[in-house]
Amino acid sequence: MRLQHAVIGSVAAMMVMGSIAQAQDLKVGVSWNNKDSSLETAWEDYIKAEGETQGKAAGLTITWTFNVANGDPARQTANIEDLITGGADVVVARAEDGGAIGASIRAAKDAGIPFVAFDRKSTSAEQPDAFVGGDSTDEATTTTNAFVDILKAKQIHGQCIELQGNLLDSNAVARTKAWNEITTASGVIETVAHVPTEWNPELFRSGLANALKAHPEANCLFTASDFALPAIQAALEDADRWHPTGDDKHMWFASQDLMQDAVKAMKAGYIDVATTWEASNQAKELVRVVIALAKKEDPGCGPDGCLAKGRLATPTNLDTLDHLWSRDYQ
Amino acid sequence: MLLALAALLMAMHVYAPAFLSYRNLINVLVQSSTLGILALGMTVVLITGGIDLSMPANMALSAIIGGMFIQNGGDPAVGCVIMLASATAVGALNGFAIGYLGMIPFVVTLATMSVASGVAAWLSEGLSISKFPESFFDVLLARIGGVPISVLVTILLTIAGTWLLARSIFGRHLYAAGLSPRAARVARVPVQKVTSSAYVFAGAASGIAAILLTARLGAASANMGTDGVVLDIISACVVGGVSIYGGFGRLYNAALGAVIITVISNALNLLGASYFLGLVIKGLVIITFIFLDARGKNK
Repeated sequence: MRLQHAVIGSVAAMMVMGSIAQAQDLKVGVSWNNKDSSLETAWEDYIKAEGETQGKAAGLTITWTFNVANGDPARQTANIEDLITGGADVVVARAEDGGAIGASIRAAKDAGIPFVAFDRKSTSAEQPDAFVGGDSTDEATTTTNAFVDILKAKQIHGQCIELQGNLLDSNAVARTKAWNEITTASGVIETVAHVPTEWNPELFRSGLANALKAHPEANCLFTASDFALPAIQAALEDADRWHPTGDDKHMWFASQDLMQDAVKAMKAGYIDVATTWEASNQAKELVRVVIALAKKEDPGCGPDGCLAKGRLATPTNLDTLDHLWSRDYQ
Repeated sequence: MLLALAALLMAMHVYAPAFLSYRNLINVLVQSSTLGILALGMTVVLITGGIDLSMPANMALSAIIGGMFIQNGGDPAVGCVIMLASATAVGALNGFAIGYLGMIPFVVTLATMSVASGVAAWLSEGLSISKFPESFFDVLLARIGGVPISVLVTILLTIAGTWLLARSIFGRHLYAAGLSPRAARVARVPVQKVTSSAYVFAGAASGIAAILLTARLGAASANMGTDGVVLDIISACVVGGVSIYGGFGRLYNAALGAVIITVISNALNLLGASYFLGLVIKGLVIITFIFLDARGKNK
């Protein structure tokens, strides 16, 4: 009888200890919509590194499982179902399709698993437990304020062309709003042309070319994103305005995101100021939110989600910014 | 093929115990249902010696047309009919061009794929069509005896299609046209009509897949029909023993092929394998089955 009690007691103790050990392990499933650029690789590296650091501080051992949907929303739905079946404690997804991700959010909720939408919001009726992404308003505000300061210091009256994004995209709307509000109040910059690009590189090129013809007096440029820098560069070259700072024909250039091509252009003096699109800070914020949700705590997101701010980059500080993915993952 | 599937299931039971859970098995069947229906359509076309590359794009286009109708307050049942009708119409267009005008299937369906993708993106402005009424999901996401509707539809279509090909005159004509169109013409098989009908069937299969996938995702978008889906459909057919040279293939094998392709993806996900490793494994499986198909043909 005593032996029986001892065995039962040992088994119970092992089960309790096992459950404690299990509680310290956190399995996070991440569903990429695609993996066709170095950005996802950078994100994975930053996420794993942050998981190690923040996980240790929170007393958690985080294991990450990544899968890729190859640009197919049906594949992504299946992949997320597989993550849930595989025992993920938290699911993170960068949606291929903001509408279709709703089915996966519902599946995770049905299974009692927190769901984090990363970088891309859900446009479906189902909303995730948290959204983590870049702070577009803050990015545009930072860039524009710095640009105003630069032109003020140089005593230049800016007559700028604004290259807008797709105005159906909330990021693009936030960026154009911040640019126009700050420049209008500045008294230093006036926007002589607003060019909607729909995030289409062809429209970046043709729209900028047309604006340069219509406004030869333009001496500065703001782009909502520099992912289409080759198209912008081509239009400026055609108009003989692609010249580095210090040159009389230099077009003062403020940019957003600082993607890989833009890093080279900034180093060469063609771009004067930009705010980085922060893969590293987004990863940091994501891990923080994941840990909070796993601990059933409120991650404390704002109305637009948990947003990671970008950093101001200029030709002088470009080499000293740490964890800049677009420079480090060329 | 069943042996391969059984071996895969056993291996997964050992290395990923969650694999054989009820939840996962249902997941696999649901995931393979859309692919299975598309594979049924493709099999009928492959039997004629043709190919239909436009099926995923056709599926996306019809999903968007029907989805827009439902989103704008249309009756979901009518929206489903619109999806089926528009996809069948695209299939009929392919069938007319290939069967009656004698155009090359690969080129015609490649062009149709481009047109359908373009129209789908243009109509939807690149955005996804979502926020459908609950009544749309109530029927299509229901379960009968614990089995999801999409799985039951796939099983029923497979049984009906298998019967049609094995027992009807149309089925015999289809195999005859695929084995040797010239000999079939001599035997007074209406090759043009049979070939056209195969593409109409593939179009209808795309429409049914559009309905089920739209319900499953809760959205329709142009990127439902990516290039990778074509690869998966052809993989399912080839793994299911359907000959890419025409004249041979069974619908139930193609449906099983779809399950195997889905199981491979599911298994790799559960094992946490690299995405790139998955692509390599899928590619190797396809090459192996095409090799076996070619060897069988030479014999």
